[in-house]
Amino acid sequence: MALALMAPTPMLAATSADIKATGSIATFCNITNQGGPIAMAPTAEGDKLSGTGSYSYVANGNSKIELSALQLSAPTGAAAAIPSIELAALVANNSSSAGASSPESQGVIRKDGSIATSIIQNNSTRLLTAGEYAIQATATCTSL
Amino acid sequence: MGRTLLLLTAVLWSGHSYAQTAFLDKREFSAKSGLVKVKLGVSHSRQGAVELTVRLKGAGKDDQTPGSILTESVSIVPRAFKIPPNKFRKVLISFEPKVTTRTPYFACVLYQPPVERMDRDGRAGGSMLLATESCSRFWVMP
Repeated sequence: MALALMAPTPMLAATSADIKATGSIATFCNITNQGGPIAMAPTAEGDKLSGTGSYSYVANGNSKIELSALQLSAPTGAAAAIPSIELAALVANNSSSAGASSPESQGVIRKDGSIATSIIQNNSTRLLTAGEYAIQATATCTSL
Repeated sequence: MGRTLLLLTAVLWSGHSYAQTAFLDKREFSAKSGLVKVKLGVSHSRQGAVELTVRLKGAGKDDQTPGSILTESVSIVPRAFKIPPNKFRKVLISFEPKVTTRTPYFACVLYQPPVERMDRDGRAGGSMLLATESCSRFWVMP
């Protein structure tokens, strides 16, 4: 009788397995340019155009942001100038030929910040040629 | 895909503004049969319907960075589509990778904002247009 009481009870083991619960969540990340196109206004000296916007970056696992090479459109025959985009505390780029990467997020991240964009003269007269300018780029969020 | 729908629901009900998002349930695929099929879930929560484009990319400067767009022997259905906010669209990417080692690929969804003419009352000025893209990395085994 005593031996029978000490033996494991198969019924209890089966009940324990029945209440096992599991789940999983797909990973994702995204980057948003909150306000659409950003307008840039010239300085009084005429040596720079600048504007500001905002971004939102959310990921539920390891991720990173890549800012593509910048495409600058300038008036025909314009003097040399340098475009620039900075996502505050995340990534910045002023290259027309290479992208720039943020550090890996190392886990979940939710970050809101400002976008600063500019076009700065790069010529001996320190002036931007008059006319319309535009910068185009792509911000890519990658879930790793 | 059920888990993805649950996640999407949680994301959309959280009250935050999200851009385009690409969900992948599975992160590793085998190339043994020659053909790899990747099911991707796509959504966004911008105001109004927007046009999204799905792209398959190889690795760029390292295995964490998407590189060039792959088009040879790649089928994406649908490749580009207009989708209302908070709706969920399934996309099937099929391709035939020739890999000899564990190789990273990236399933990406791009939102290209429309170019807007800015009225500056005749003054000089400029504009910056930032497209945004969400990518999910997955691996293909030989």
